Amino acid sequence: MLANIYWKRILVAVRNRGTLIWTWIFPLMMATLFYFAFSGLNEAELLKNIPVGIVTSDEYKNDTAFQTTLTSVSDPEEGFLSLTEYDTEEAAKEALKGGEIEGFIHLENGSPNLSVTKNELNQTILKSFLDQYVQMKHTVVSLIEEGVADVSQILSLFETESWTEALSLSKNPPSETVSYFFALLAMVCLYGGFQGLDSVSYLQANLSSMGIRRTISPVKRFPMVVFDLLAALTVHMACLLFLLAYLVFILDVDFGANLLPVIVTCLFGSFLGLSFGAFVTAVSRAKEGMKVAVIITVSLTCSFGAGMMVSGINYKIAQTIPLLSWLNPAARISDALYCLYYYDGYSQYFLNLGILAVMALVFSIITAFFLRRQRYESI
Amino acid sequence: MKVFKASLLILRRRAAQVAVYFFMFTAMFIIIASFTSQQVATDFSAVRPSFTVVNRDQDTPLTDGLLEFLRERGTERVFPDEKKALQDATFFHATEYILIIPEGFDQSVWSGSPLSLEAVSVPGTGKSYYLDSLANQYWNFVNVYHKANPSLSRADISEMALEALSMETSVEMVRFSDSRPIGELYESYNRVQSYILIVLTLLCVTSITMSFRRPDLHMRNLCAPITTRQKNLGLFLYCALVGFIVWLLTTAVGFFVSLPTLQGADGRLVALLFLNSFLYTLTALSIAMLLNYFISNPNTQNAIVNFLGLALSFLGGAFVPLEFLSEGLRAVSRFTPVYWYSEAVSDICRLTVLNKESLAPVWRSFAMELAFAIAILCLALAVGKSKNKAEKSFGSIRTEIEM
Amino acid sequence: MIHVENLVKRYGKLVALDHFNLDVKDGEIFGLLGPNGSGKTTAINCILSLLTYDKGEITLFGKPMSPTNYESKRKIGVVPQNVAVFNELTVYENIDYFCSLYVPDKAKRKPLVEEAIAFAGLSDYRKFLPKKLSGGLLRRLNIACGIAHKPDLIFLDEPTVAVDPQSRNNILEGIKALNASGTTVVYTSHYMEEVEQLCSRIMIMDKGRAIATGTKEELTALIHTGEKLTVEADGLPLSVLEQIRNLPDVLRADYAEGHLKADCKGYGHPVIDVLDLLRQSGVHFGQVYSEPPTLNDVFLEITGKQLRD
Repeated sequence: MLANIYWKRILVAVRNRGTLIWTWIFPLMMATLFYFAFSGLNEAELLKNIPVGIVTSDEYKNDTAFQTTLTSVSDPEEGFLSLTEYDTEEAAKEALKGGEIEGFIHLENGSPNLSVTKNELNQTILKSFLDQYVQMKHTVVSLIEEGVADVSQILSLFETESWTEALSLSKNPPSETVSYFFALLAMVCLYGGFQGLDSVSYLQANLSSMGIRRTISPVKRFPMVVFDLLAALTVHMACLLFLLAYLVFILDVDFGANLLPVIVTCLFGSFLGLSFGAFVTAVSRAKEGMKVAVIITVSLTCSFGAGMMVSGINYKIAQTIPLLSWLNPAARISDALYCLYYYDGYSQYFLNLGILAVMALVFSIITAFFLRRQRYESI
Repeated sequence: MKVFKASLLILRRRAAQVAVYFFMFTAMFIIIASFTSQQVATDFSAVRPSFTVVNRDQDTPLTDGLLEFLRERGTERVFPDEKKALQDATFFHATEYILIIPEGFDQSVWSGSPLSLEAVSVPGTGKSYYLDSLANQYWNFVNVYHKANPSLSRADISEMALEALSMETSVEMVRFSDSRPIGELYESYNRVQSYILIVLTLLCVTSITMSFRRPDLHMRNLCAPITTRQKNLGLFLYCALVGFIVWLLTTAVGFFVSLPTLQGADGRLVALLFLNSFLYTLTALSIAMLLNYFISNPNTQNAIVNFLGLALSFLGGAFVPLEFLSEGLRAVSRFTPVYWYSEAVSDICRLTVLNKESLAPVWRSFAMELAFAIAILCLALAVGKSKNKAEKSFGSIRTEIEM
Repeated sequence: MIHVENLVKRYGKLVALDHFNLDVKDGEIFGLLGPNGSGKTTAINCILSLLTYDKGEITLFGKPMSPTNYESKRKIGVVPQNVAVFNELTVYENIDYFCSLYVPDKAKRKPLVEEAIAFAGLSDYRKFLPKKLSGGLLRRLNIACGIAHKPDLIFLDEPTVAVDPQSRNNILEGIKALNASGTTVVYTSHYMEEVEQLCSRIMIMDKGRAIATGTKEELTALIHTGEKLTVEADGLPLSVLEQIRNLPDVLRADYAEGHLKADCKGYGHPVIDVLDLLRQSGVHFGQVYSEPPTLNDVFLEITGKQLRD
């Protein structure tokens, strides 16, 4: 009998097209969209060779020191500039206008001048490079003039290794793209609310006529509710595993080394979503459309707070209003996934799971309180 | 006319849904607007990426000098020296570059093999490269002055290094026109508008057609003494009105919100942008006509409309600049009307002179949008013909869940 | 089998059941008849412990009814007013599901489900989803879900609303068959023909109160109206109509569109008197027929309004 309740509830869920579209198809489409839309996001920040022009005036042709410096950083493999030579300033300006180069350099009275059109990072790097050249040149000249050092010494003075050494704080590199997928998974977890809604409205005599039939049947309330919700959870987990498989195996999203804790996170998240939906449905007799709207709005708002639309907003919220962040279930889910991806330890991961469990339990207990009742004021 | 009136009535019943979307979009735009820088720069100002210095050694004149130098070029963010805080800051780009001065660094600095400073950053990004080069530059100068004159105190060396580092190249901002013809804010609104337009149009139109295509209602209409032409005319009028209102509303919101930045802008350019969004509305209407044959209940309606709206907007660069898309995707984007819409927006916002030559690409984009509208409309008519012929047209279409 | 005493149910200020009393005996088909809103469904929901009530006592199978009285629940079958089936499950799956709540053993359940399908005439549709079924078939499925576990007591709440005549007859026959096999039935309706045809005992309800209970004969005996006489007569003068009205056994008489209608008092038989009077007055008459009083007349006389509004 209980097996039948469980199994038929799964059938009902699998055949319900509306929920299927929202919980299976829609996230899949979003994931695909994210994949394509953000495929260039991580690379966008990377430094590529900056196209820059140089006006080959007579002054430039005579300044061998500057020429050497320029060519040393224009190496296609090692350097960060890709240099184009222009005979006249007008030609370089034309190229700048056409967007072929980010800026051009022309020498004037022994010092380089930079011409740009934008205030962006590439221009800043160009300027910084020229600054360094000017500063070096000035220092060398003044050192020689002051007689502190002679030309032979100078070279040894400037001979230094890099002072810095790159250090990675985490096992996986920071990535803006993965956080979008974390938030997406969090949203789908919360969409478990749809299953909670279906379960409870089919269980309550004051919400549906199926509920009447089941309330007057001789099955004890508690096992019926538990098996029904268990089936709902099974279906929703299947949905999440499906999405996860799509993300990992087809879209090649990196969730860190171990998938098992990711799945556990999804389980806790689904449980929370489910109990939230059950809670919303049980506490009021508002129309079903209204409850669906509440579930969608809450899920979307929470996912927004977890960084699904604007990446990094979850961090800003956590910095400024930590309580809000701790109470946002979507933020906890995506933070748990983030911990797995990024941290070495598991303490915060377990803290997140704990918070999710507590929230889910609170919703469940309130729901249970309402479901315990089998007699109503009105139907 | 009856069909037209009934359509308006149905829309009134669903007005709340449409209003929610409309206000959501307006709010979204205001958020986006707040991210957009509004001033037009005339002088060059360098980008100031954020950095963090964590000093595990003692404070010395040398480290003070480093901080002073970096503060001049970047924006300092202070984080506690805890692994988790630093990890989070890196991941979420709260700081682009963390420089850790290890314990015992000051002692080792003149030893010939100084301890390395630890730099935490997102590897390979331009900002971290820039900050790293600044830090190296500072220590290089410190080293040079020390080697040149080992008797100098740390304070002197730091002062001299900073003085050397204060030399800057002169940068000339080249302006090819006096000012931007259309401000960035209004341009970005125009991009987002493509999303708002398409979602609202699709919602309003499909809500009605969905109701009219319910089999029993469809049957009633077929039986009624009203010609197909009259019925279609009613629906057509409705679509035209809805399209026009959606266009008018979204255009007005954008115009009035961006009004302060539009002072002194060429009215003809604004008119061209109006025309552009109007043409795109036509395209959206024909997409709606096509879609209505594939939408049979509110669930699919919401999912399809939202997805199509988002997909097209990403392709058109409404949220994320087109440069971030992969090559392949940008190629695909050319085959969508939103690409041409977007192209027209960029072109119009950069028009400094209005002549035949400069306007040519704009006209071309307009023509493409119109062509898309007509092509999709033809497709919709063809699909409609085959669908109405088929017995399927009385298939199961439901707008409510009946218990 | 069912005993309800002084049941009071209020919805805010509205009194839905006003000191309602009910006794249903083993093996009968009990009809609850009343217009919409008279409290039939509320009464059933209270009996089933779905609704709270303000006052009163309810016993089923000799024991007080409560939401946790699973022993009694096991013996009850319910067919709610609205079609209560899962849209996502097929005919067979739906019946099997609801049956499984009562009969956990799969092997025992299977023949029961088959029997219910045969009973409802759904054999050709067992793999259909509910939305593919016509209105009548859907109602039959609704009934099958409620009776598959062979309950001792069945509540049918207006099971024939919006059903075509064939399906309706099919349903009514089925209910009779169930009763013949020993099941007690409580049947609500606002179609008096059905109740007249089906039920062994009838209660007429109005405004939350039982206004009369008994067999059909007992109920019709309660009222003044006896036989109802109709005479086809052309050109009846007003004076003659007046004379007819004055006849001792005639309660009321009216003439319209060539038809004379006369209601007779309790046990009187005025047919001969009326026809004599007509012949004496030289009025030609054609068809003459008389009917026994119906529940509608009972209802009309007690409440002063039509049963169907």
